[in-house]
Amino acid sequence: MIWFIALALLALGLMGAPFFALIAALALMGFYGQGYDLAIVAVEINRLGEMPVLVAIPLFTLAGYLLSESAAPQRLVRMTQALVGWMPGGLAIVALVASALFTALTGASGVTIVALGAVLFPALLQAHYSERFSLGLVTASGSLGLLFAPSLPLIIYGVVAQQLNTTPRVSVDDLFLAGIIPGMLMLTVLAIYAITQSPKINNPEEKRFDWRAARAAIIDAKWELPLPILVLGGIYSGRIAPSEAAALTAVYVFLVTVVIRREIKITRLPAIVREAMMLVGGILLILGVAFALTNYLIDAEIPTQLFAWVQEHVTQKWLFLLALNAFLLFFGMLLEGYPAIVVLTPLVLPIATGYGMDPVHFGILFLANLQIGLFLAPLGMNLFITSYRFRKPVTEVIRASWPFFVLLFACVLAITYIPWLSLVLLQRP
Amino acid sequence: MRFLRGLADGVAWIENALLASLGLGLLIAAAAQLGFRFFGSGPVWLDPLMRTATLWLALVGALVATREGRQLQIDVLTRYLRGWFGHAARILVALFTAGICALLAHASWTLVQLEYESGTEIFAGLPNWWALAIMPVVFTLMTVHALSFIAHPAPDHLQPTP
Repeated sequence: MIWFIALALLALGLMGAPFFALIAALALMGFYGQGYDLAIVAVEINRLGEMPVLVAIPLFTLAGYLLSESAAPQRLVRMTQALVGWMPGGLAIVALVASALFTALTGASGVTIVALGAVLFPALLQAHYSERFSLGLVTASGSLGLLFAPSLPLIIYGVVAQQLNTTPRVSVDDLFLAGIIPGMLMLTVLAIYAITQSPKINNPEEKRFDWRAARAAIIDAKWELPLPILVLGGIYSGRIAPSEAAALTAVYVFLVTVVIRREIKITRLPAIVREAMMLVGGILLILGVAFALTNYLIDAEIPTQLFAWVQEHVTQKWLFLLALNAFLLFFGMLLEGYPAIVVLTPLVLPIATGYGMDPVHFGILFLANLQIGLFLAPLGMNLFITSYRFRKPVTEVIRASWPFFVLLFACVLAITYIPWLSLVLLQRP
Repeated sequence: MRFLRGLADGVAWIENALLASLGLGLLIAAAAQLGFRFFGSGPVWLDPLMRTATLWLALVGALVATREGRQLQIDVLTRYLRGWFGHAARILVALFTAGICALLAHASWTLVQLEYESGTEIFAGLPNWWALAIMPVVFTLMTVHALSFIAHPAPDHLQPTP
């Protein structure tokens, strides 16, 4: 019976049934089987209105949409280009850093590829990077930055992990700190690769650092520059809570894009807000029904049984970690981010802590896997977004992006087997 | 038929307007909260108000996403479902989604009744069931939107942008 239901839901999922309905179906059936009144599912969805940290999600998303609709992406690219563009591989590094910052703010929804890729791809070609390298870089760039504050997947993982009452408890602030070094590792590795792939510049004029251009670009970006300092500084110093950082970001971005620069006309505002809130609604409803599913799973002691089963078959920790990576990568590719986080965390986190993993380390490892799963062949979502956006066949995108995938996969292995990378900033190695 | 089309357009307009207003309202509340924090402490009802707005936003946003066929889903394979099999799959998915939404509507209606009887407040004398009343409304409308996909498919939103 269980197998029949599982197969039926899988088939419905592949035919395009929305994730929230699939997750809700599991929760409803589970509670029904245990003899509960189904109103309990509504009680769980209602908890979306009881957690202060969730207020951050619509606010950060709104800020991200406003920024991507303004000319901020172009200014960001122009400024980083003026600062590091003269180095070998400079422009590629610009692309990586700008994309990471942008993805951290907008979440992994493919917005980075669409909004920044549109600026970066032609710029890379113009600077004589090969088309294959540029296409691969733009595809991979959509997967950078998930580990940096204030990325929504980090917040969502934190919220779900808190439901499970792990020891030590998971806090969103800890996750923000823990993601810094692993995120930097991924960026650095790709930056070094970019330097080795950079075209030979024969014209010495292009090589020189231009003070005047740099100054002009910085002045041009004067309103955007304080934002990362304000938000990241506030969050990383522990002075403001995530929801306050979100309020600050949203209000600041609104003032800059709509009131000061007027790049977004007031009349366009309702449509942009509607678009952003639709995305938020989709994510939060999945989170709401996932609360119900988590509650059912704990009530039915499924994670405990799963742990006992896994422990019986996998005795060595390093083997467990390897299997965990393969598992998370596969589901990261298939479930595209948020659904993977809300469904897999309650099932897998108790197993990981059972093997002695720190829940914060697990979170970073989980999201690192998810973010590269986004462009894992053959079904990773970002492969398709790049393919549509730049009108290239998916097979070509896959060929172009696999070196980036291999490098990032090596980083994921390092993050898996060296907990120190994630935990050193929390001072609990 | 024309009446139905007009009704659907009207409902869509209200949903869109409500969603945009909730988003902008939350932004204004956030600005107020920052201001209050700077000058000391704000009114006690501001935090619960923002949390309730988040619940409403989540539900109305999901409602609009359902109407436009833009809920998160695995949509890499659906584009290869063509012909009668594609039709059958679409109808099956629509019926399944509508069924789940109907169950959620029923469950949340029960919750609203329970809250009504218990008489708890969210803030400033406002009964809690007011805040929850959005749930059965949204899930009922979602059921209708999901069923409407039997008649016509959702627009494909992964088209290349110009």
